Amino acid sequence: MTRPAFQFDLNRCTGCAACQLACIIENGLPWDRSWRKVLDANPEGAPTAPAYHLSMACNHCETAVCMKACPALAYSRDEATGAVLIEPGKCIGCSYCSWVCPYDAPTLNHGQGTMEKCTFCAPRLSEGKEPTCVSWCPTDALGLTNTESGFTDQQVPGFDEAGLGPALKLIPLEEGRQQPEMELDSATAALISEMNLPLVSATGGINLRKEWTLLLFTWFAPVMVGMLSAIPSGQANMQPWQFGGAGVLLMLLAAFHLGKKGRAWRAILGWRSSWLSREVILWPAFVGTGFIYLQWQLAPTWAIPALLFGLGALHSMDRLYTAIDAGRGPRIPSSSTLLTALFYAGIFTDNMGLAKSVLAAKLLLYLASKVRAAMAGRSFRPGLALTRIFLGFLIPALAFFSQSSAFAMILVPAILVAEFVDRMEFYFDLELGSAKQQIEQGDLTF
Amino acid sequence: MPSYITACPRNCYSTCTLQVELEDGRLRRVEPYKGNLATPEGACLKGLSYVERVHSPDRILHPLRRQGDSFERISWEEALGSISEKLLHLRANYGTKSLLYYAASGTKGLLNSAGSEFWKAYGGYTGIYGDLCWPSGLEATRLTLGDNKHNAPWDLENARLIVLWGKNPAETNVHQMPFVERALSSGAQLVVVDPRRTESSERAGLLIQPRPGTDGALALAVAHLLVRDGAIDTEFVNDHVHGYSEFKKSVEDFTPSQASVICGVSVGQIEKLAELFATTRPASIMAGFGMQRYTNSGQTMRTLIALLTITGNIGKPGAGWVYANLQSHIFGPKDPVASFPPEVDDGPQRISISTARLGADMLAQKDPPLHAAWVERGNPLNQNPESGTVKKAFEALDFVVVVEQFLTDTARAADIILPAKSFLEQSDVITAYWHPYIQLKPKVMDFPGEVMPETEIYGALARHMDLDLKGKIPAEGEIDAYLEERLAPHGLSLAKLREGPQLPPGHQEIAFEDLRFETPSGKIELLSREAGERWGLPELPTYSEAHESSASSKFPLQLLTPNTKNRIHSQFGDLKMMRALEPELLLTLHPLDAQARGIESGDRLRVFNERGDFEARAQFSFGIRPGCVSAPNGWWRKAGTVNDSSAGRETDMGHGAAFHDNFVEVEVLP
Repeated sequence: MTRPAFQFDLNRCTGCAACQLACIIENGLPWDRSWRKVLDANPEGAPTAPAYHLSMACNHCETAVCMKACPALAYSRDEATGAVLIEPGKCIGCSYCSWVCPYDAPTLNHGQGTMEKCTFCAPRLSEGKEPTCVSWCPTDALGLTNTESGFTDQQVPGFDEAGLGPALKLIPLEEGRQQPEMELDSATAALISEMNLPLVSATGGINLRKEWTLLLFTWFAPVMVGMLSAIPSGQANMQPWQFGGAGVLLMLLAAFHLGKKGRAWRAILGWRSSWLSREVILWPAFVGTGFIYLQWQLAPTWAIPALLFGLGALHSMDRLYTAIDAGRGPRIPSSSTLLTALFYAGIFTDNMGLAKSVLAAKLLLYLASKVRAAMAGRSFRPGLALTRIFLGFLIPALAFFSQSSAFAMILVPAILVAEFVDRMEFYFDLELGSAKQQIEQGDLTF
Repeated sequence: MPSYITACPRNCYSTCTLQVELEDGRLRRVEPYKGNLATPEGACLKGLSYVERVHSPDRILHPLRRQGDSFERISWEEALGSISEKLLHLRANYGTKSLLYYAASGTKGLLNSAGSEFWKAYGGYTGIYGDLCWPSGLEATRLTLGDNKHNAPWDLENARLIVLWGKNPAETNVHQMPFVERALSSGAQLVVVDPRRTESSERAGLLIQPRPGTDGALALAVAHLLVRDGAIDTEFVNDHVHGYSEFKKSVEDFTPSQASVICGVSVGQIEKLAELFATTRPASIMAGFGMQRYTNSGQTMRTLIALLTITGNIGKPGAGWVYANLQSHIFGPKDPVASFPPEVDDGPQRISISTARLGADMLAQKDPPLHAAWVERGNPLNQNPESGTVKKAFEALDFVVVVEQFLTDTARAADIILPAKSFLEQSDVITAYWHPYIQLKPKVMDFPGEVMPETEIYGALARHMDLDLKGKIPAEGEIDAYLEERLAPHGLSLAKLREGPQLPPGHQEIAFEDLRFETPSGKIELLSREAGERWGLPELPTYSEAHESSASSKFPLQLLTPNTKNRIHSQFGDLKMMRALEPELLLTLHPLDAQARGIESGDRLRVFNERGDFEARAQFSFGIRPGCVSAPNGWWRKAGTVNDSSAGRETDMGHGAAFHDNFVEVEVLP
């Protein structure tokens, strides 16, 4: 069955932003927050590259990762038009959909506390009219076409080819019309080769300043799972209220970033497809069964369900973030919460074989991420990297091999700091991974 | 939802036909209207933003009176009372010429004539001549072709060579871009001549970036090559051109290497452009208005038309000089001579102030000096060159009345502000200067608050002052009859206009296709005796350096002050929609010029010369020619008025304003 799709002709767009205003006017949005945005490639006019625009909104993808990721079942697809829609009454404002969307289409309405995005002007479509952004484009750059399963293999720098089947057909710049032939004096040429020019201007993505509570959650959750694994053998000790209190506190921290905190319970509804839902179910299960185990001092085998819930929660947590890199293939970060929990388990249970092998794996993954950053021309953050390597790899190595009690004393604090740094860097890299951030960094090849 | 066909009356190329949708008496949507072949895709972003502008909380809805630095609301009775008292006092003590009547191009329409009718009934006034916008190009075209008209916009699809010479339609005439695109898709070549790499140049094959103000030299060198290589349409020249042999002789001395030094472009680029003109026909030059705002620009425009003339690119599909298409201007004199100062004194009116030198000329008026001003549809404190002097001249007056929708720089200088109508609130007939249509702009909405249109204001004032307007200004109920009376002689009617935009009688889709030229010789005049007699200029198109240039100015950077897509001159910029797109005044400069001054992207800058200064934020661009900086005009004074730095000087012909003879220096603000 065919359904409507946007069509965008790069040759025709002059970047006038009428489409942005059309969206604001039709949907009664605040003047500065449109569901459609025009991105400017090469805003500084580097003579070595073409300058063009991309007008981007929700692409109502065939594989709607936002809908899969939504933990609250707030997303649905309009059967008649194929439009992917958010029901504001069901949204809990967790912003997870905006993280997984490679086009940054869903945005948080701060006043309402819920997510919103382009609706394809579904009411206009059903009246046989074009969406306003299409209808009001003065150069006919934005148009309407049809598709059966979205468009694939569209190679336009700045457009994230995420394999999701977006209902957006791009008409790339024609051969010979990429950019005008112009004179370039030697002084300018020299200056250009010195400067690292941003080729596309845009903002967006995950903002660590807004999401710091999630950093705390994902940093400390592996510590709790690791510690619980050492209780049955008596190698670690914890008061039930300490364990339960910390677990609940982390849960509250994670809920703190929700736009609609009162609807937090809805986060479990999407368990069939959403890793966020699964995390939201498994973490309280871990905290609850762990608390019961500690409170009634049950036999060691009773720790097993709690540990399984814990590992499941951490796995969900890891998968939830890999979904953000939709279409770019799975990539295990050195700060993977599951790996980190195994590392803590080795340390706390004194299983040095486990601790050493996980540490070696984490070191390799960490170095690999640095190599990737260097190859992409991004900073590999020498200060943070040195701290992380010194506290997180060197000190444990010394502690493992020197048998000195001084190292053993500072081992756990050093690891905690190092893992915090690693997790922080993980979030920094996620910011890079968002589509707009990626193009903002000039991560384009022409 | 009620929906009406109307037209946007702004001073803009596109003059779009709009389909406006109302909801609960408010403008809800501005939809496209396909029946206008030039603007079928609908309004630009400014047209869309009427949804905000018409209902803006900042709109002035009541008469206001100055109270110190702010304004207080007064009744119409008080406003009309104090204005008529003041006007009667002026007339009795200083004579009517002590009042300046200043009307500009803020909105188009036949009812705009109400002002001069009233002031004539008052007994006279001091008026202005010339125009800020385009007169040097109009006069250059009139001298050469005899008339200002060009092919219909949609004919551009037939062009094989399109030269956007100093024009950036992507920002100023976005509806022209689809026609350019269509021509390119069917194989046409696009050349852009502009000191800036613009949105319009991105899909061009060739971008030539001459030193601003030297386009005439570039064109003469191209002519030199065309003549040298015999790439002339000899038959066309023999039959339809006056003065070719003189022109040929004069360009034989004008070599590309000479032009290369003057323009700062390579000989290779000049040869490429000549090669295109020699091999590619039909060719159209779309000339912008900015290029004819130099002290040498009338002559520049003549050299450009000469290129089309000698290659036979006039009067044919896809060919021609696309500058101003005044075919719809059937209701009054369209001859630019109409805006020159009268050669003989025409009695009570004193048309003695050049709009280009507004401030200085106002201050210089004697017998009587000016005591008062009435401003409508204009923002001279922002838009006229040397706006600091204009401000001083207004501050020297005893009494200023401004009719306005918003608190503009000029409204802020008023003693009394009278609220102005929006385009949806009064019927009128609109002409255009790019497409040929005549359009009806019907009344679809009531006046909000206590707004009265100028026609009603003048009527009420006349009653207050016992003036007899002799029925020359229609009351609100008489407007349809007034418009019908003006349409009828041309075979048009309101009923016909209600069906949609109408072509004027005798419309030429291909301008000059009859090869009749209303010049003294009846031919295209490369040699114009009138250029010498009227303007004291050479009879041939020649190049001479502009008055203020890099050689003569002690300031090193040439300031360009183009229009942007986000405003029409100083209108629309205060809307929240536009502020979201353009939050502050930016000065675009080349990183080399920035580096030489220790400027970083994003720095707050002071831009200054001997005439004035303004502040802006630095924005780097490799697309601007080094040595040039650019800041869009139209930001209000609180943000930065670029015209504080421009000079009150006339262009070489047509009494235009030479805004762009303007050199500045830039420094980082501490």
